[in-house]
Amino acid sequence: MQHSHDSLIPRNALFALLVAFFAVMLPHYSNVSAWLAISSVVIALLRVGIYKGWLPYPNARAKTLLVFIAIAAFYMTYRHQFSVETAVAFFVMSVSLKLIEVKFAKDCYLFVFILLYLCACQFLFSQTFITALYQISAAFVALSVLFSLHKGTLTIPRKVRVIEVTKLIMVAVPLVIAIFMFFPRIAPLWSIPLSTGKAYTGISDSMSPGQIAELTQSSARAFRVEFSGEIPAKSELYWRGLALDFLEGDTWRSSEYLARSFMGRLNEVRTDDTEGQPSYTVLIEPTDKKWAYGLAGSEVASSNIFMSERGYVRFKSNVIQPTRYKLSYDLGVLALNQQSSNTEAPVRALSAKEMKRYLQLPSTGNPQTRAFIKALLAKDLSQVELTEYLMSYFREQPFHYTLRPPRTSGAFFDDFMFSTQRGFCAHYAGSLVYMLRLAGIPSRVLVGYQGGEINEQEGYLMVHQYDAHAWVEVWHESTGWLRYDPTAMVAPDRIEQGLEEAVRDEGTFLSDNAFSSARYNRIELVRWMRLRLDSINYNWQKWVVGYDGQTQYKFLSRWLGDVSFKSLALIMAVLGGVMVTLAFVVLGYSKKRRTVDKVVLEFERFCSSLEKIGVKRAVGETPKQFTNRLVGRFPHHKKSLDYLSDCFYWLQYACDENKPDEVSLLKSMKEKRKTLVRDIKNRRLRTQKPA
Amino acid sequence: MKALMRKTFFQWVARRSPVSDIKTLTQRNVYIFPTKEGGLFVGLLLLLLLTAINYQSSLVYLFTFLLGSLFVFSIIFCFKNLSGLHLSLVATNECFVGEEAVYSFALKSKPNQYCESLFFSVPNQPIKKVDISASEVAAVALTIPATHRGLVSLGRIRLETVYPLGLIRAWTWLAFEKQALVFPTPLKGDRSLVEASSGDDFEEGVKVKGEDELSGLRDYALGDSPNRIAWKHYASKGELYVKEFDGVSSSTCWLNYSDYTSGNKEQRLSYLCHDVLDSHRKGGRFGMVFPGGVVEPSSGDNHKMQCLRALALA
Repeated sequence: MQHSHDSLIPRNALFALLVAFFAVMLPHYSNVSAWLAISSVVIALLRVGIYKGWLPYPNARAKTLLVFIAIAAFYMTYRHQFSVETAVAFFVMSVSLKLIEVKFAKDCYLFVFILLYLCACQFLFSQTFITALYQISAAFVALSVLFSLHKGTLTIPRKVRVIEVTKLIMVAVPLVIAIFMFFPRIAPLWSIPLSTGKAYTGISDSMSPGQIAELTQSSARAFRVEFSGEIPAKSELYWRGLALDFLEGDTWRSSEYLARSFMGRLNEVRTDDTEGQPSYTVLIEPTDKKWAYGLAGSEVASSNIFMSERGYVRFKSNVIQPTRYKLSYDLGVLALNQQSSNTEAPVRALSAKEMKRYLQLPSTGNPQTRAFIKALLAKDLSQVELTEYLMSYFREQPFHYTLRPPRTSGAFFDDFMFSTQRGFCAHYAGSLVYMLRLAGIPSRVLVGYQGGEINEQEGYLMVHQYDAHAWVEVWHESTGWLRYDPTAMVAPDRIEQGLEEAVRDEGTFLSDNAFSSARYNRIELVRWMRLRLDSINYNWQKWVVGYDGQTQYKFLSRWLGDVSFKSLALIMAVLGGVMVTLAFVVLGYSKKRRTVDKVVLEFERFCSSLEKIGVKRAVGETPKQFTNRLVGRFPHHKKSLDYLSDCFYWLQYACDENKPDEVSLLKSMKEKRKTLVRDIKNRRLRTQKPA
Repeated sequence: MKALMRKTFFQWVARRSPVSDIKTLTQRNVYIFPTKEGGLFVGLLLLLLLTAINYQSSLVYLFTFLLGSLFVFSIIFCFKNLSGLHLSLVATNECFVGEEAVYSFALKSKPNQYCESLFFSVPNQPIKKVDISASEVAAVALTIPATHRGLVSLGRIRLETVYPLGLIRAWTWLAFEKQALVFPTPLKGDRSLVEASSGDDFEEGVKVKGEDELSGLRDYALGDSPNRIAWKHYASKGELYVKEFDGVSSSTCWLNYSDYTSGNKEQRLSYLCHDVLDSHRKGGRFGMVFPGGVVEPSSGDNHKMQCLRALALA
């Protein structure tokens, strides 16, 4: 078995190997540290140099040195981490080092296998449709290395290849889908931390002037929502994320601390049945945070989230993969524009601790604002009236909604309220809460998202990072927490139609993000394509990425009744067996011979039917020789036999001018063959009978 | 123990694939098993499955199943690459000990079958790679060194393929009936006496040879010298005939096994072989006496071959 193994890699295989290396490594370079990525590229380029013959193979000393340097650098970079990224980085390093050494055909296998594993590893970082398409193609490039090692020198007609590949796809795709659907999903055998340490865009737990503006320059998707019924009006879609209740300088922070941390995986979602009640399912993009976004007055309807003490929807652990969760909501509460953690219950007074929390303020600063509130308090308005007055103040004064507010110097609230008067949601919400607290009204800044873009093609809502918003919730003794949005006073467009409309005159929509397709939403085709692509991705996430044990159970039990692990395994085994057999039939024993010359085929049919009665055409015997031989044995059929071989020669070799009508000749050849075989068999029977 | 197991195994193989010159490869005689690399690939599949389970990643599951079904299809393609192939041992050659015995095969693929990277391995011989197009008849010659005199069979050869990905190996063991005929090595030996014919006679015979009368034509046989073929006849009738001459020289020489002064049987046969070639080159009539038989005096290529064959089988 020494043949193909210790031979050098053929050049075409080596070329495929280098292509596969780059294809597989490229997406990983963003996950590993810079030096590793750069040196990996350098090594690959060196290998290209060796391949081209510009450089010699490195000797053993150089290779050992390289390995030592790499290991030392790796240790320095990754010693404090133990995560998937470290493991992937280690693989990237070893594969890159191995590349310089790959010389013999037998080295290719291990190399290709590691590349294949790295392809799969990429799915731990990204699970979009495009990623899957890319990784699967890269895997096929890697496999083509093995193919080019074993390919013969034949030039196979393209038609044959196409038919072969079509057949393969027709058999393989259903097989893979069937296994994917029925393979029993097993619970994790042991828990591995999947910390990817990647930076995510999204809302943070503090808000200083300018922070949300940064977010509004991102067209990345925050989450998608599918409603069980009609999508509520955009102006009602306030996706509450977290409350910022602590002011420090001019930065609002969240004082919420989630002591509770649950074990278990977010992917194992168990969703409740919410028949009758309107509900929505959110598919959130990774944030590496625990908070989830929900509408006011929603209730938890899936197992991976819970309602926190303060009435916010929270995940049981950090979201590092696209995750689905489900909430039910009350249309009435939503429309009333009011909310509390539990509206049905009578309004409960705030505890002293809560009172203190929602009235917290720095003791000094912003004298102008303080004086303004003091003057207002002297008017002896009720709390609701005072709040309404402040809201109308924003509407009546020349405030201006802009994503590029001027820099403030000194006291932020004084500057904003009385001199610049230009800002966006964070400015308005922050200032309103500051003033309300000065007036002794408990209030808090809410951050989350507002509105969203409806994907008409699929009927779901897409919420982007640029939909990030800040608003205010105010405590009134009679009603509980009430939502106020000062931004709506200044720029109603922002709430009714979204950010794009609101900053249209300014032209700052995604102005830092020239390549974002969302920016070119005005162009109908771009918009259509963007929505189409998003719906593909959404369905991909929903049906393929999100196809976990629970979904599998729900999906299959719809048809098959109660499915257990055992029945799944049985179904899969039977189905797999049937399909593999089918594959053998379709690919292996196919009787279809479309690709071969019909004339040759016809003659071979004749030969094979004669073979059954013990007359065999010798190897290399021409048709004429064969029929001549047959004439000796069956002299009665001389005419027919001659005709048959003549047909063969006419059809195969006749010149163009006296070429007979091929179709009819082939047809008569076929008829002749049939009658001839029948006659010969009959005659044989007749001659045998008397004996 | 191992040898015994091997023996029983190959007896089983031989039952499944009896010795014959014409073979069609079917599931009866084609064996299939993962290669070492295929085993490693299965390991990779298990590792992927473990990753999918532990990270609950649907896409890794999907990827695993994709590679898994590729493995299954690789079995099908590998099998298909070999199965249905029709082999026949068409001819064997005749040669001297120390030369190479050649076994010529004709391989015929099915109408829709492209056989890529087939490897013929004869024990202790370099491996031969063959590709065969659909409906093609390809000729393959396998050679082994002829180490001993007589009928030499090729022995059990293995035909294998790891196409398309090298993960699966399909192979078959084949044994064939036809044997190559190996003549003794020509060696110059001492003959004790010279009888009946003298060197002068030979000289004379050679001299007149060119003036031989054409005595007739006979069928062409393997080994006849091309310059004695009746090309004119071939051109007009398309049949190969060999011209036969009536040698003028009537001197007959007898080569006798017992004439040699030294050597055991094999050596003596080698001496005889040398003298047969020598006599033939000189063109005279000669007869041969060897253990177990006599070849009546004659001349010509046919006669030479007859003598050599007799020596090979003596």
